[in-house]
Amino acid sequence: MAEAKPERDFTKRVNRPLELVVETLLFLAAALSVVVTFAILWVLLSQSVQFFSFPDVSVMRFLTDTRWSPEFYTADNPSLGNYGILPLLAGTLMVTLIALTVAIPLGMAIAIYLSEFAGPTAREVVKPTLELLAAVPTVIFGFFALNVVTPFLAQMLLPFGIELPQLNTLSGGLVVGVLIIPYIASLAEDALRAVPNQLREGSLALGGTRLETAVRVVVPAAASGLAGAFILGMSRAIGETMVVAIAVGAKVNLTFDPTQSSSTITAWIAGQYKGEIEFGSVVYYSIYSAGLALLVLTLLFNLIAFWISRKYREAY
Amino acid sequence: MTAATASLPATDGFVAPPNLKARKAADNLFTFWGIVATAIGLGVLVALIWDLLSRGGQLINWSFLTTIYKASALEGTGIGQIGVAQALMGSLLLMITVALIAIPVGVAAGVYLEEYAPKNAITNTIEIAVNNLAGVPSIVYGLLGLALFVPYLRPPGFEQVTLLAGAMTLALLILPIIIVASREAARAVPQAVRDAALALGATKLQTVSHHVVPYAVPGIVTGVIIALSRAFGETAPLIVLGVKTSQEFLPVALPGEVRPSPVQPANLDPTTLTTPDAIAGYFNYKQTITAVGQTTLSLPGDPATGGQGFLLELPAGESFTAPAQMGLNLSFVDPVTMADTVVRLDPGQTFVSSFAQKIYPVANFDQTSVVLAPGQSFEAPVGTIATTTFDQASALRTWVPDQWMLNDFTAMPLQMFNWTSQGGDFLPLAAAAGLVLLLATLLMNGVAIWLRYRLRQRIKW
Repeated sequence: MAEAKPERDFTKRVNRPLELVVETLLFLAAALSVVVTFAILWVLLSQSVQFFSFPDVSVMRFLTDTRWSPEFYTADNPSLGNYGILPLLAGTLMVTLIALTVAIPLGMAIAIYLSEFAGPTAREVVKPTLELLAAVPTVIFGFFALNVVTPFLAQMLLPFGIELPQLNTLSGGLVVGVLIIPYIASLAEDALRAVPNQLREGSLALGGTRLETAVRVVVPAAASGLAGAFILGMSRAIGETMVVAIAVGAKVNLTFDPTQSSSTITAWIAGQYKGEIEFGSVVYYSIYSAGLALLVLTLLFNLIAFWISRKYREAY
Repeated sequence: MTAATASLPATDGFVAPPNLKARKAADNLFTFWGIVATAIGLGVLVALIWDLLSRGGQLINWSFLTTIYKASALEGTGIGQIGVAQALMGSLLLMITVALIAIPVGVAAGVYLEEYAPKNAITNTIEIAVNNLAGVPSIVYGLLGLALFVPYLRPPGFEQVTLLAGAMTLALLILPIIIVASREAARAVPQAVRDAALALGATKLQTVSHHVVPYAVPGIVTGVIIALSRAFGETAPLIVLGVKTSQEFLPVALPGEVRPSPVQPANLDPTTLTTPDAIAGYFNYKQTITAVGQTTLSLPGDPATGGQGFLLELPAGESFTAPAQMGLNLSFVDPVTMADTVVRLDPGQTFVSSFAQKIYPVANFDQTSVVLAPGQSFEAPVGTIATTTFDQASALRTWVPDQWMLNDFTAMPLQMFNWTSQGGDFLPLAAAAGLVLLLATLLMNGVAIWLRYRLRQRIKW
């Protein structure tokens, strides 16, 4: 009998080069995220540096000047323009505060209701519907704010002698608040549901009502997750653009009166769209410096959220 | 036992705590508040739809979706050509392009992070980057695209924001959503599946491509649909890029369509271009004119002698080919000698630029027009030939399909934004566009939610 063919060596990996090529390609796809992150930072920083190198523009002025009007800059007379981000920052914080005033009570109520009170059927219906609310394009919310909420508010405020301008911070802030309800509700509900059932059962066994259990046991136990939810909702409110671009507008005005016209960082950037800004002009570079301020603000809040959830996480 | 129980008076076992009634009332009150809060959240969605329907509902019909909107429609005669065809087509093309870019990269990154990534500093960095990108405001992506994509992803010498630039920006925007969704879908596949495949001698790649990814597909699809619906409704980054919020033609030209140039060359007076019986157009892209009847195409003369020229930037090494039917003169300043130079090209002849040059392609003096017999076609070179007048009724212009990504475009949310900011008579239009937008995004998300629900029910691991 002929010698048997040697057995196939199963220890040898087949098709090694292909394995390596695919793994490399997949790695490159993943590494793209790092590249994009650095590209964003590089673009914002390098263009902002250009902005700060114009005469009369400086980092100091950017952070302390209370007026913002880079469009008035002319090469002959650069001092006509003003380059302080504070009015835009004030508008952004005002919109965010109004939004959180709306979204935290409502979002928390929804979250506690869904997690502690509602039956599984109600949850199965409400959660997907909230997701649908979160999926509505924000330009539609902007339309709603300008054409429904603002006229309604104007009518409500008229008896108090307040004449609400068509573009105002209040209605934009309220609608941004509605916009972030689904985010806060969903994240807060996740945090509440992560609290182990023994804690609830213990409280209920001691005679606590559902509300007492929720408020005194479940909510404190989920505090870090809830804080994370609020801050993420806040960073979304800060970055929201279309609602404020449509309902708040781009008229820069340093005020803390929400019934006045003012502008936010995002609304001002979006307000420069009309194709009138010239590549390489002061306004062109100024939108990058405003974008940098926006990114720093949101990253700061995201980091705080991350840090809180790390530091105060209760481990069960 | 029984005796002991019996000896306890029933009333002693339970003492009602003080203010139990009030506590229970508070409990019920909160239940009510929870329901009210939920109702407010969902009520907004209903109010939104109701408001859009009452304002723009009567405009919605098939012709609204397929009519190309002209700004003149609202002047004088009232409702005429009202529709969103150009915006809808722009949005669909944009979404397809975004999908082609973002899905392969996003799924690959998600699969890498879940299946391949070793636990080390590099992986950690990638994860932090993905999480960070998900939290970056969308308008910042617009700034990124404005600096990196808009100036480079367009034909040289032109100023439009191309569909490709918009798609690249939105693709980066939705990348984190797809990565996270693919990752979670891959994570949901039980370890036993991988162990079994590896134990049978499958390689890592075989395990992943034959077993993990197929099981993860429904989860990936859910994430992709949600991400694409986000791209469909996203407005802010496109505004920052400078995408047109309204334009009167489709992103892809129809046969027979005559359209204005995306950019008016500075040295041309637009008022001279339109005459009652002839239409002037620029040939900004490589495009073909096919004559329906007997057609004369007249091309401009030398700008120096009063004719109209067209400035074309020709980077070093790029070539320019004259059309097959006619020769052209290329006028430019020689970058070495600084002398005015004219290069004469015979029909079909090619000129290769040795330095970066700005050239004016103009007709030869001995041939300023081309006569096309019915059915005959004329191919205009890329980015050239200025005002070419021809009989509108007898000329057929077709767009070369490989160029549509480089055309300018508008999208549904931008069109809605445009009409919203104009207000007044435009509000019903804005509302109708909003309805179309809302319907499309809610439909996509509804499908995704349903898919995920089905998926959860079917899991039997």
